[in-house]
Amino acid sequence: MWKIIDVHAHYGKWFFPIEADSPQAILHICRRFGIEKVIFSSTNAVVYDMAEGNRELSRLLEAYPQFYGYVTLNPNYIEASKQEIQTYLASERFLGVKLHPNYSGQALDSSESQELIKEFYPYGKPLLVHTWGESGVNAVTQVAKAFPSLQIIMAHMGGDGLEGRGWRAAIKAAKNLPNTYLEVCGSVQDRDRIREAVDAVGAERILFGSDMTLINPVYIIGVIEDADIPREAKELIFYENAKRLFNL
Amino acid sequence: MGYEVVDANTLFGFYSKRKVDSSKEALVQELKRHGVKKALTLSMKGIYYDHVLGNAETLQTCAGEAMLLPVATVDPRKYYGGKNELRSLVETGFKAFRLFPDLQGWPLDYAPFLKFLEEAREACKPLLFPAYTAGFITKAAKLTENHGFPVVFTSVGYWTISEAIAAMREAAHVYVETHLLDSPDAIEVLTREVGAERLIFGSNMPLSYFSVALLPIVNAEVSEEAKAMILGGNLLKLLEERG
Repeated sequence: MWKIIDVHAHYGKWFFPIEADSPQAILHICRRFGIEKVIFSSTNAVVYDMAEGNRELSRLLEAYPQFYGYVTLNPNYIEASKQEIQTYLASERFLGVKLHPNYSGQALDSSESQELIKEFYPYGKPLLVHTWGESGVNAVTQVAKAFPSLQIIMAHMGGDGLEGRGWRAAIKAAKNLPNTYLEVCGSVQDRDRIREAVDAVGAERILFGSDMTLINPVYIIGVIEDADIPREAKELIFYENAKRLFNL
Repeated sequence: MGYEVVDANTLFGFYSKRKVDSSKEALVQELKRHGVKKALTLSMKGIYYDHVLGNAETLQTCAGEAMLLPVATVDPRKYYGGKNELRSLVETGFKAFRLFPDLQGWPLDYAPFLKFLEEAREACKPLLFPAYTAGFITKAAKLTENHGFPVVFTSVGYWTISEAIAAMREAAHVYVETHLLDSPDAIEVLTREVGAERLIFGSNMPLSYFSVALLPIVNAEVSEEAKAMILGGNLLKLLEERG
């Protein structure tokens, strides 16, 4: 069994028939698949109520030392988001910030998103951003250049399965942006995407994320297990890179 | 591994959308590496170019490789029925049909497709059909009601599980292929709600990673008997029931 840090997980309910969403169910999943630490964002905060969701996540983190969090921000609510940053981001249990442009409708390179980035930039903590398609990757590119010390994790490594436009754009962008990381989760997993990513940017900037509790971690473990890359590269992806990036 | 794996969802041929080795040789090599016993397959030529040429290629390829079972396709943008085409395909050895409205861009309310369904009654082979968007399973399950052949919905994921369960409770001829069932308890929930006998393993090889499809089933918290049914028993039964 691999030793794993999961850098992309969600805590909360889903609008799908997914029952394994309680802390106990999540712990059971972690034990079954060797997941040592998990970094969550709140589903509620991402899809609905930012403050309520971050509060729920904060309570989870108080009870479970192996769980960590991202503070989710909503660029439609600038002042409230700044309050969330002040409330949570200094905590050792919150390791970064989560932005989801698809739910908020605010692109990562919008003036509102960038105002928030300026606000949390001094904390020196990574940003996990839902990155889907070429437009998502282009927005990350703009922000990565504007904030060169900000470590940006491209969730889903650009997404867009089958034709691969998103993930290929993400790989190409990451190659020239040393402050970016590729996180691998997603439902459609084109064979070869991991090897192509490793060949282009190196295994050191690829991170394991599962999208749990939306996606089964073992589904994504299968992606890395089947990837045509050396075992050492898989160990970096599953564990070592996240340990280094988040000082875990 | 201990399971007899039969894969309902594989393809081969040239893939123009990105650079990938999707040749028959690559497919067979990967299937053998993962211990797959048999696999339904078809040439992508039949999806993206010409279904007549594609079916011929599928048949020829499968004739030379015992583990591959031929699946026929028709493209309703070209096919309009009335020529006993489906009967001929069955007579030449095809084990199932598979259609691709998602990739070919035709709707369910489409006369050539309805004609296909009419003629497929006589052919009476399993039909594999994508469930790529909300509402699709609902409509397709109703359209194929009382036709006498099973419909296996591919590409069911967390976004369509609810619809699949509701449809399967109403329609005994509906099955779900598993390669995109990626939510943490998808196999457990479906097994409990509709029964493991309604789940059919597929991998989407060689376009996807095989273990992505396999591991959620092998690791599911369902009985060993249920896993064996999902991984191969159910599909073999469907195929055997229809020659």
